[in-house]
Amino acid sequence: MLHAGLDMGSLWTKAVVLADGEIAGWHVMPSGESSRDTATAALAAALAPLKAVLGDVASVAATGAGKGEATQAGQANREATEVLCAARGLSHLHPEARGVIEIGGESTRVVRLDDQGGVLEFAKNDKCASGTGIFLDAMGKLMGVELGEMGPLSLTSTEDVQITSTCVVFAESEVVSQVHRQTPKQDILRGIHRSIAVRVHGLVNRLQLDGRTAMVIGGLALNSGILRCLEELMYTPLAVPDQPQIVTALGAALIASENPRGSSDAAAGGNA
Amino acid sequence: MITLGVDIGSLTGKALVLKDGDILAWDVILTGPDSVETGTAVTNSVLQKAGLTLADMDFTVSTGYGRIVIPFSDKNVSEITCHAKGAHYFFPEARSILDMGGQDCKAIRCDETGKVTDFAMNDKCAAGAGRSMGIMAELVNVELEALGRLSLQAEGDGVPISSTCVVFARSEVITYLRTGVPKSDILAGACAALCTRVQALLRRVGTAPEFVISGGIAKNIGVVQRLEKQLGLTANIGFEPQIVGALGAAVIGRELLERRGSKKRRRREKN
Repeated sequence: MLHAGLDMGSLWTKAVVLADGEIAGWHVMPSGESSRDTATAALAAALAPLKAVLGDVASVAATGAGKGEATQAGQANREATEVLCAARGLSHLHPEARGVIEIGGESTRVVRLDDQGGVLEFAKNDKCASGTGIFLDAMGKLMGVELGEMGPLSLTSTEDVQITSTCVVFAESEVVSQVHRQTPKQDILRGIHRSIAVRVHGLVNRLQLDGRTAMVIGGLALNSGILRCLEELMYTPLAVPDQPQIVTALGAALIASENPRGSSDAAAGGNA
Repeated sequence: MITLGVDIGSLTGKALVLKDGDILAWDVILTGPDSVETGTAVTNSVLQKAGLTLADMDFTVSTGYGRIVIPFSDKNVSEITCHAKGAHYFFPEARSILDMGGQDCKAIRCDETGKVTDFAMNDKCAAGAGRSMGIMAELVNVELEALGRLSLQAEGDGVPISSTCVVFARSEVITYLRTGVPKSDILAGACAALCTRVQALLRRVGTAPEFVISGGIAKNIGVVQRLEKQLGLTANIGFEPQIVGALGAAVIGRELLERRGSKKRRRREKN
């Protein structure tokens, strides 16, 4: 039996297909202008290795910023919150994890888990772009550095550059003036990464999350520069699962398989 | 007695020459990447207008975020102090000032001499600062100067902009534009959102009936009218709201000289 999860993020859309509870296909693509088209394309791509089509899937659960649009468009038959999906996905892959640090495109979420992987407590920032992926996106464009190169380049930094503005709009001017001053790119990048890590760390601190048992997921978990800065702030190495971007979509797929009828979140672990 | 006030803000540099308490000349230019260059350029321009040279200045006070680096300044003073003094010069009855520039917003209370008694400031988030309007103007492709008037063509507060963060609001506005919402409705929503942030700041220090708006935002009729309506007050706005900080700096320079002069006089009389 096939089940699928759709994580309709603000910048990226992720789809995971489960065949009898095991990951059988997945796909990550940029979120387009139409949620319906993006959802269709992501699901089709994730189903391709199985030579299956959407009609073969018993149940699809949607999460992420665009989850409502995905269910309205009929691509998903139920919705689940991002926090719950992230928790469910991570504890499926790593039952020993007791915390989730999710750094996504337009929001950051931190979740504390109990011994069964259930949600104990969470904190999130979806009000302010600082400390989220879109900040990194904006700065990469400004400096002409590809997203994938930013992390490794920042690790070669030798000089500390402070980005003092919290606001992305103001930080942009700060970065421009650093570029004018011909500050080495890697030093500016490290400053940018540190600034994001400081915001994330604020949420981590609020929940008193233990870095030794927490794992980092979301698109920014792929950025070695962010990880290094966060590790420095938390004084501990941090673990990242394979494919950290699809963990939340996996959680959605698991929820779809557990609860195919589309009953409420309450049955699956509270209104987190 | 001739004093010079130089105010280097994030977006504009302002300079003003005050002679015996009267404004002799002033100018506003865009800030370049180098604060020293901006300060020198705006000062040269204002001195030329006044037909004077730097040597004619009895005292120069600098203010604004670039105030520390101005090489020809005799003293640098915080922009909050300067704005209160400047507003007091234009409107001696003023006890409450809202100053909004490109990168910050200040709510100031002052006494009958223009001395600051309390203030609250936002310099952390663009959502409550002038830059947010610049970004909206660019998005809908309208001149910043025309934005306020256009926003008043909308009915009420137009469409709601629910994101606080300007970065997120940008995506919201793009969606509105795509679905064909008129520019005026979007700009009305943006002005209303800015008013909400400003009011939160004003509430922290309270608003006195004699109320002044200074800084670039005073030129945005869309924000000024909405704020007046919400507060139930009429705002006092000087003939050039952007020079209030530089004016305050020049006034402070004059006051300092007068105090020094009277000290010297007292000393002379004692001997």
